[in-house]
Amino acid sequence: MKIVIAGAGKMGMAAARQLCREGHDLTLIDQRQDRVDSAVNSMDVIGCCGSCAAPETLKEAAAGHSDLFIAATGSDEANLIACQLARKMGARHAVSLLRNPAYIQSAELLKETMHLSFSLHPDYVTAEEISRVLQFPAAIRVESFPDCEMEIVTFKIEENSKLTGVPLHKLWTKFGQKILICCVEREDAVQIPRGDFVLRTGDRISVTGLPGALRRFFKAAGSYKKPVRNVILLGGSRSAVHLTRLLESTGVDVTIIEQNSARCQALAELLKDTSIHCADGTNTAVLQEYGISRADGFVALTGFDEDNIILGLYAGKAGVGKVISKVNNTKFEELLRDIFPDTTLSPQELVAERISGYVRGLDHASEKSTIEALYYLGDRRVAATEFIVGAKAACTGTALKDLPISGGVLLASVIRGGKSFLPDGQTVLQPGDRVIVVSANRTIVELDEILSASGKSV
Amino acid sequence: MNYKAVGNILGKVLLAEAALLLLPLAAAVVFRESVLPYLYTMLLLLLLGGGLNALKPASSHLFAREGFVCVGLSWVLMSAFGALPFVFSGDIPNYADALFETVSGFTTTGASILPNPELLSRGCMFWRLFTHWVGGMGVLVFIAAILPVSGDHYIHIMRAEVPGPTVSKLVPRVRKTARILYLIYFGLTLMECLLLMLGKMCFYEALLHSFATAGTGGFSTRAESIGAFHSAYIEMVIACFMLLFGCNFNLFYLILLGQGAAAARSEELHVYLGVIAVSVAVIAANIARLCGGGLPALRYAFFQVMTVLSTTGFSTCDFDAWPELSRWVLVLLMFIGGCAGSTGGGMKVSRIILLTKSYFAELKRMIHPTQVKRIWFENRPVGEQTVMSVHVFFFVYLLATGLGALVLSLDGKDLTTNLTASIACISNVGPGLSLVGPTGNYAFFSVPSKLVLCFEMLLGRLEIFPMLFLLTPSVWRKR
Repeated sequence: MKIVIAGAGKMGMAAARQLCREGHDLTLIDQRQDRVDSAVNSMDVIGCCGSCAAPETLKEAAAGHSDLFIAATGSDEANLIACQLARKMGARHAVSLLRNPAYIQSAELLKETMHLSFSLHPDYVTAEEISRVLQFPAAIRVESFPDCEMEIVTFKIEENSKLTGVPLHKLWTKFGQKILICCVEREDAVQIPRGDFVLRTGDRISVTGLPGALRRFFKAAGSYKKPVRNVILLGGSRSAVHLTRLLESTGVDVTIIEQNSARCQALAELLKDTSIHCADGTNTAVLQEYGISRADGFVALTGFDEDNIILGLYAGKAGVGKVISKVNNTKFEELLRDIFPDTTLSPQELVAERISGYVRGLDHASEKSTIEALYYLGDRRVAATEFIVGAKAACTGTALKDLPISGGVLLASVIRGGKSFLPDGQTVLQPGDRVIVVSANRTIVELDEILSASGKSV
Repeated sequence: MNYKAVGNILGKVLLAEAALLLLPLAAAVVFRESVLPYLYTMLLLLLLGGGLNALKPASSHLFAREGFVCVGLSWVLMSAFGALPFVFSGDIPNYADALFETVSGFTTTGASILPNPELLSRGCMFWRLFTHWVGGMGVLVFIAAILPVSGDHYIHIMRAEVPGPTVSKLVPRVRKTARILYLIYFGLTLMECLLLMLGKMCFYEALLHSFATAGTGGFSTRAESIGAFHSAYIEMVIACFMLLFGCNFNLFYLILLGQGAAAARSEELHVYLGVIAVSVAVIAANIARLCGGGLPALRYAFFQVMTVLSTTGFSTCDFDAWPELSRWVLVLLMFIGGCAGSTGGGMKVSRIILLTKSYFAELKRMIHPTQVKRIWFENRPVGEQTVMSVHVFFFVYLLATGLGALVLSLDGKDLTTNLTASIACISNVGPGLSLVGPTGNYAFFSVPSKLVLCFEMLLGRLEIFPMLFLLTPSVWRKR
């Protein structure tokens, strides 16, 4: 697909990396020549230097001939103007990133009047993801799929967990819950485990199942933690506002610590009931004073990765049950995983994931299957993709145990007639089913790829 | 330095060369000659290329440094192996001579050590002219078009191999860009071949001369080059195609996209055509009496101007016998060369434009020291860095030409011979003046001189830097 991305900043580059890897033809627009150069030197894309809201630049980037135009600059207004111009010039779809909460409230109206396919709100997306993880504190990440009750929960096997030393085929009998372990990250390798796989302390495992079954499984395994009730937010950014609203709507107590007094005033205007403190959150005495010892959740959302990581580590040591740190720079992800025990989230990766999920939907609506959603489980090497089985798919009509399903792939769940269940060897896929496929080290774009070894490497 | 990744690419280059040798092999079969020289060479290429290709680099990251080294080494290796069929078949028994001929082929120079190429076996003749076609667009671009290489960093290789001060892709993907370039190249070659056949040239010769024109090479199957055909039609067809192959290929892509108007606005094209018009006028006036009339003078002048400016190097007459003025105009044209992004050599029209503009900008700056002015080219401001690198390029180009001539002078030939041999090689033209003129050849030079000329030809084709990096120790350090 021909895609034009305006803005080669953090958001734009993360989306570009993801889409380029998936084989799309990208043109990047940025006002700064150095950003354009570095993009062109590190990815197979072409660049174009100029303002994305200027028709000449859009013309040079052939935005009018593009299938999708993504506006990812730092300015909402420029994004909206660029999208509108691109659509007018003939771009088939346009997606705009919007940060201003006022625009988020009128998202539907904007979408209609500005001819957007959809608008993405990085702050809101981040807040949503954080609140989901806080609901299920034992997990590093929680993924849910549209119209599917199944969730995929990723967590780490702690020392003296009851899971240690258990082979997978004994899980159901031992814990009595219908769940499926769909991927295991051990040291640096990622794999889709078989029945004789034995779990070890330190493994990061992703488990699928119905939320109730998952909760009972966690309880039985001794890894269950209660949902958080009392959260400290560090940094009063826009995502903090969204997050506070989401959390307070479920009855969680939120304390915000923000350094800038003007920002605190603004926060107090936006959030009537939240306790907002104007103080330097990097000072441990301040954290003690505002109740880090009582809190069971800690979210570091400041603009500095280093602060977020260090304070996250400190909160963990101080006994906070669930710690989440926002980390913009994902280049050190592997390094971080070794030192940071809890959840790290990167807004631009979340946004890139949403965009690529949408692009897959546009790109692969074929007669064989349609992609509904795509998520990465913790690490980018494992993908969970939701498909709708098409009428012409080759994998229908035969029991799964008789299909030549390639290694590194697993059917994590099937949704038929609104009911979700875990597939077994006897399951026969039917057109119209929704299936969630988990794949390690490659991304699957067409359901029938599970039958051969022809996926694209991630 | 990521040695494994570089080795892997080199392996691919050698395998590609083995595949390309299938064509002269086929020619040898058709003409009932021995296929062994090609088979032996292919075997060697497969062994070494296969070995290198099996290298599995830990990371496929290629940075600018690896890009330059890849390109420089590829061309050296390709030429070293490409010379083998000439040696094995006994057509050019001396390896240094064979190497000179091959480098001259791949770099599309067209300088020859053969007094009479008509004595070559048909298969070797095919290979000799086919090297022009391969070298014209570049073998690494070819590899990008046909093999699955990671495109993320291949731009560094493209930049090092495709001529011009700034290289950009036509479409987002390296692979598609390479394919489009080769399609245009192939299409134009085919067109020329058909037009030459209409002029009663046989298919074999039409094809080979199309190869030589497309790469702006200049080898011919005949000792007298294009002059041997005594046909004004053939001369005009070839001259027009030399003009086309000296143009930036991006323009053809624009025309294919239906944006011919945008292509026609190209500043470089205007200057290129202007240079042609002025030179043809000056030379035609200068040689009118010699040729006995205005029309024949125009015919010879146009052909010679095109053959020198596009750095092809065919000849229809002995321009060494022309008056001094015409000879000098031709020597100056050798320096200019074709447009950026063409298959031609020389310094490229766009660099000459930038140099001229920066000269005037500097004049202005000296008169009005506070005035701020950017240099504009093709309707956009040019970065300081680009201008600077053009200046450095210009200096090194002249330096290499001068030093090259200095080494040649050890052989004791006259100044004109040495200087024009050096210019003709670095600019990838082929024939120079005096002893290396259109009727002469390079056979009389000593082996060290020939090697220096080989190096100059590679310098010119790869635009100096990739070859110089091979001689720079810091490039070879691990990191």
